[in-house]
Amino acid sequence: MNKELTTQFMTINMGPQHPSTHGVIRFIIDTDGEIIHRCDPDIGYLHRSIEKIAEKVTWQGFVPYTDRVDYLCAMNANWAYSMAVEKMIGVEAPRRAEFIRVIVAELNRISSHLIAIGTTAMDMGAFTPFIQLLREREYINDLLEMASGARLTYNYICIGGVMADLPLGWSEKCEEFIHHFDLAMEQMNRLVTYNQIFINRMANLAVVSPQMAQAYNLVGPNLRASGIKRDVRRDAPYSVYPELDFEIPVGKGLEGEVGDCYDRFFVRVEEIRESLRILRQCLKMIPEGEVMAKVKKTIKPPAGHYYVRHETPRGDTGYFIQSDGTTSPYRLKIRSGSFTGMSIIGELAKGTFIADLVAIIGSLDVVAPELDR
Amino acid sequence: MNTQDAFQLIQAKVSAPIQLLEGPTPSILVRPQGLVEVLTFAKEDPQLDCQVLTCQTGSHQEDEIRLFYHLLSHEQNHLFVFECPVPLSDPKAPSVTSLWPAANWLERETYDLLGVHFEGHPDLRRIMLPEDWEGFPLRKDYVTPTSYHDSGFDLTVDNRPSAITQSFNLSKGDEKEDE
Amino acid sequence: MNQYFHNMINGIQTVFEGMSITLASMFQGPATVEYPDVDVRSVDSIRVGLKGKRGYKGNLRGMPENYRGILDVDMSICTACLICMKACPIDCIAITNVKCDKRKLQGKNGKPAAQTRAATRFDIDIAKCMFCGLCVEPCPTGAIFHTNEFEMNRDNLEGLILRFVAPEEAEKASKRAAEIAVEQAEKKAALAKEKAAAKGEDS
Ligand code: SF4
Ligand code: SF4
Repeated sequence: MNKELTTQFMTINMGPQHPSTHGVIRFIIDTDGEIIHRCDPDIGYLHRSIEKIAEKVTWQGFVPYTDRVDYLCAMNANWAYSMAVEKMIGVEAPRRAEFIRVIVAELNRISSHLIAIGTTAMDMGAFTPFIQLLREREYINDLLEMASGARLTYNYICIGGVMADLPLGWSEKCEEFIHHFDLAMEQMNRLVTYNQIFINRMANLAVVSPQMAQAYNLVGPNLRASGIKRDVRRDAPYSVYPELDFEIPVGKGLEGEVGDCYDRFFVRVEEIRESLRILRQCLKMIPEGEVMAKVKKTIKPPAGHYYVRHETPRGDTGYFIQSDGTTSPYRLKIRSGSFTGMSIIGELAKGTFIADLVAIIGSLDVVAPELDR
Repeated sequence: MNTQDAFQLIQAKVSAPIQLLEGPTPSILVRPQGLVEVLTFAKEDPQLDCQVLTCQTGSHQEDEIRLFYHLLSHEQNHLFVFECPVPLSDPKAPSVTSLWPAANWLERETYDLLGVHFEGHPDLRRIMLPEDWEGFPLRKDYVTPTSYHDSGFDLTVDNRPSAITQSFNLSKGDEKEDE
Repeated sequence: MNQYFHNMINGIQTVFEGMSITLASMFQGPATVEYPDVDVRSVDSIRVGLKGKRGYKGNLRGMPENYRGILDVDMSICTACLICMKACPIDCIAITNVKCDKRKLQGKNGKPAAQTRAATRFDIDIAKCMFCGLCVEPCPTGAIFHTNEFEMNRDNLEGLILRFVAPEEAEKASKRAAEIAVEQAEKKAALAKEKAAAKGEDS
């Protein structure tokens, strides 16, 4: 009797080209009917050996490559790397440059979170929010384009400061945008965040307990959604963040357990608000002055290894850099938030429905290029 | 707590020999034999309390591969670096997957790119590169392949018109001589 | 039971709220322009492209001045110093140079510079270029710069290589370089002779 009832697992292949895997990632899923029994993410389709390239280019020449590590928040990636090299050679960026960095990085954080929110909603089947958010994101792209001259791969923050000063009238435009964006975000929340159907879909799904989040080394919004109040901007403060007043949103289990998909989603929404707050303060506080410190043309940092942490939209991104005192890095490793975020999916997806898997991926905000590097 | 204090604490409590390395980032050197013991202590000691393995990587140095373990404590807000040299002739190290599940993928990446065997790892496969890739790209003696098995794919193909390619080789060569 | 109906009502309410937002954006007019028909480089044409509607609301209308498009080189102030070639991380600039008559010139930023070498080849492969701007920054005279041009449709790969030195000029420069070499050799010989003569007088 029992023997007849046992069913075989069906192995299905999701990806590498799948609209809701956010890039080229493949999942090998063993399913029992509709329920996932085993989920094995297969990554590496976007591996561009950036770490190997780093060993061949000069210290300055690597900055444009960091753009490509995470194309949704290129400013933050530029900054993380530049900060690491600045620490190695003992250069400090001028104060105005630091403010500009904070402003552009926070703008970039907003635009990255907009994509995260939009794609999560899109994976749930709601296409409108994604398009609406892309429209808002376009304004941020415009602002960043004005400052840096490029739309996605900025290469704006460089070792020792920023490439160019903000153009005339930029601050006013930025203020205008913040004013406009407040309303747009409210509208957006009414459209998705407070939608009962969306909440029911996301609440109590794929709960990550704080212990699990730590064990799997989740970072950034994913970690905070599990109730751990940790943010590199506060823990290991850099730049002018200590002077700024902002909250660190954590998951409170608004609609279900702490650390579910809705919490991860909501933490990002809250973080956008905090970023706007930081932007407002910075635009008031930004001093006049130089934007570039004096840096030698050929950089030769002292030998040794360094580990610099930086809070990008995907969390604590670590740059491990080993120098042997020559003009290019000896070994460079980028510890990205997506990589460890992805490693938890096999554990989380167990026992959930196939349709929920896309919600889990979306809520973890995995970006394929950063995952594979 | 800084690395010196951590070093003294570990030295007092753990039998495995450790060594303090100075440098821009101070770190603690552990032999592969004592690695698991030391890292378990670092995780479980309430003063060190390193609940998170934030980064695991390695780098090829002459005749050894040096593994780096960056341990982070969210409670205490401190970060320690542990170094573990494994010989290039026999690159084997114990796996720490049982301590931190996060080590699973991080060690797979180190295995994939540097060829360090982690003993006791549940699923040691290549993660970034194809399963049948030969060699470990991040080693310094790695020779960039010119083709991928016999796929007929020439990896050295350069879409630059040949005249320019040559000019590059020439000009770069000249430059080296000048310096 | 109560909760059940409450949830239902809540669900319907929030759906309608979302619908109202979607409906409202129907009357907002397009946020995009139809690219090939509209010249996106200029402010005015974008407004015209939107046919006088409220139009593109972004902070920016048209392209920013510092847009990083295809590179251009002003050969009249380039000193063929190779700095840009060394700065490029992906080696897409190729320069070869020869000696030339010394010439003083004024860079774009007003800084004086001296040219002792002339380029016989200055090629940029824009198919490889990633428009990062690393070559523009260190140029001492500001000869290399980004334009607003971003359309890169060419009918062959060769067309994607920008050659800034015409073959005739290159030939002229090489000839002149050969002459200079001869002149210098003569000068040196003359100098040596003079010295020898002076020595001879001394002794
Ligand atoms: S750096 Fe400027 S002056 Fe020097 S070769 Fe390049 S374009 Fe010419
Ligand atoms: S813009 Fe960047 S990639 Fe292009 S030629 Fe200049 S340095 Fe090279």
